[in-house]
Amino acid sequence: MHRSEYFIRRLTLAFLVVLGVTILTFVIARLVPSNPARLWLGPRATPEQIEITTTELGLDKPLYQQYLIYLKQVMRGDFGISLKSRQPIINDVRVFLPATLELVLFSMAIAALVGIPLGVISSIHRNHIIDHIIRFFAVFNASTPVFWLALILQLLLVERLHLFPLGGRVSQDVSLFIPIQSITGFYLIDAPLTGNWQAFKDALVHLILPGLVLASGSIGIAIRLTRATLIEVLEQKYITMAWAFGLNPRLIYYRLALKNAIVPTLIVLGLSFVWSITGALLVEVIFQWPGLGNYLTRAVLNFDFPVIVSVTLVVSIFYVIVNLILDLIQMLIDPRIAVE
Amino acid sequence: MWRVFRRDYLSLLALAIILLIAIACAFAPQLTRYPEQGEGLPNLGERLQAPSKAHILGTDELGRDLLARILYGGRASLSLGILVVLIAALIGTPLGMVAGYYGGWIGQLIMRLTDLFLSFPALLLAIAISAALGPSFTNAMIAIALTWWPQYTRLVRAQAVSVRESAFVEAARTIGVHSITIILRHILPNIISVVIIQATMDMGAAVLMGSALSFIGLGIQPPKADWGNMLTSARIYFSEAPWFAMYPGMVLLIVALCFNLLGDGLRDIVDPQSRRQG
Repeated sequence: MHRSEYFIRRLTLAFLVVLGVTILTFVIARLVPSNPARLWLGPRATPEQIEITTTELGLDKPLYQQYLIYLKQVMRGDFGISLKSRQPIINDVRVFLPATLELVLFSMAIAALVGIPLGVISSIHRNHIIDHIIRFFAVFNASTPVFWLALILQLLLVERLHLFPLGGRVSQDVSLFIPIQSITGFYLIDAPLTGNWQAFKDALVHLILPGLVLASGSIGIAIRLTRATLIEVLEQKYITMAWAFGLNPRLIYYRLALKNAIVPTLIVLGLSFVWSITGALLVEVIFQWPGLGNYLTRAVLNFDFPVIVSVTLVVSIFYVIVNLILDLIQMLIDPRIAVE
Repeated sequence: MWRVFRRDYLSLLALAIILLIAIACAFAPQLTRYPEQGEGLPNLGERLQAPSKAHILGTDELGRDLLARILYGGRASLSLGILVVLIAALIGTPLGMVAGYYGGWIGQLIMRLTDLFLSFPALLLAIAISAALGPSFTNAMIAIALTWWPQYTRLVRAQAVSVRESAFVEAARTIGVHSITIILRHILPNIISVVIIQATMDMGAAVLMGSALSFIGLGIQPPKADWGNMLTSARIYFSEAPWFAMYPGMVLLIVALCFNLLGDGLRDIVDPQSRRQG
């Protein structure tokens, strides 16, 4: 298959998946609840309001028309009104999404920086004590409930040792006196762009602890995958030949072997993105991080159903797009993928 | 050989710990001195007490014995984990066998549906479904199982495709055995071990996801406890009563860790390939 052909096929597939995602969220929003209009309006809705919404959402129309109405609304970015804030949900999402992404990307960077080298070490010392320790560390990380880890670290490092701020994205002083001008919504980018270095430092300090907690799970994934791939690569003939030629082990491991493990590393990043975005939903609650997770959890507490469904839709679409990008980068690095 | 034995030893230990915790939870009414507090009866005279002789792990925000709460909560958390995996396997396995054995448009349909479910982050989908159904233990279980079955379908389909090509299936087909009989008699026994291993490995993750859902208020409802919603209430009091957050999370960690170790061990025994690599 030609590259461009693969490109188009992958793009079409992603489009179909996004369409499928809207169908599934439509089913959850409109078909699963026994009275969708009531859920859409909250418990205090009057019968008149319910009637109006029923017509508005087209709940009295055939199913496929209901879906088309829903699709049209979603494409316009009209996700409905939050029952709690009475604001259009899209406005809230615009504010909260960058916060979540910043946290997720930061934690992925930590996970890659810690997890991949550990995976390399583990595969080099396969079945030795170092390997066992690292592997146990990986299983341990995958088994730790992330919201609990967040609580415990908060207790230890914040309450007892005062090493980090308790939560939030910036401290109150910064948001009052030297607020970060929003350009991209990412504080770590916006602050330097506006030359606001003091706020940058503050934002970074706030990011470290939630980022670390969130990274813990992805580190486990990164270790396991890197180790498994490298072991496979190290068994290939060109590596055996390199050994036979008496090449420097460091050259063999870090130059020859790791180069062929780049594509799997991208898969690691993709998987850890999944893990982090769901983990972030929980970690944000504990660190009062003003992101989608916090928004979603508050929505659950308030039975703010439109928000729950919308956040699910937005994050899932985002997730599809990230996977698409990673796949395309993979194809650029490793043309064999397009042939398969 | 020695290494294999040692790994088995580790998974045996993991199994023993899981069984110990499960039995302790099952016999919670007999084991604890405060069964009614485990069920949720408040005991306001002894709020947030540190661990002592009377309350080995301390008490919670309503004065209930934490050990009793953890044991009763474990009944919810563990049964949720087991039931989720069971339901997911019961939905996923038949679909995977059908998709793998018949292929064709029905196989395509099943696999595309699988892809669709897998294109959602699982926890998020579970949150949306259980919010639509309303918060309760049963609904949380249904919601998580609905996000979990596609993994089994994928796994089973891949296995079924390879078994379908083997000579004995070919032979059965030639002498005119009905395809449903082939699936049940010849395909199923050949894939069941893989499913069981996967189920064991998944149980820890299922318990974790159940508690995550419960942590944000979509699981079993108070006064009943599980390990997730105990942490929700513990969060508010965690600086004055750190034990309250400490112990439920620790049990959760131990259970998930043991299930993961056990699953790893089982895979090594059944699949020597992975043992050689690891």
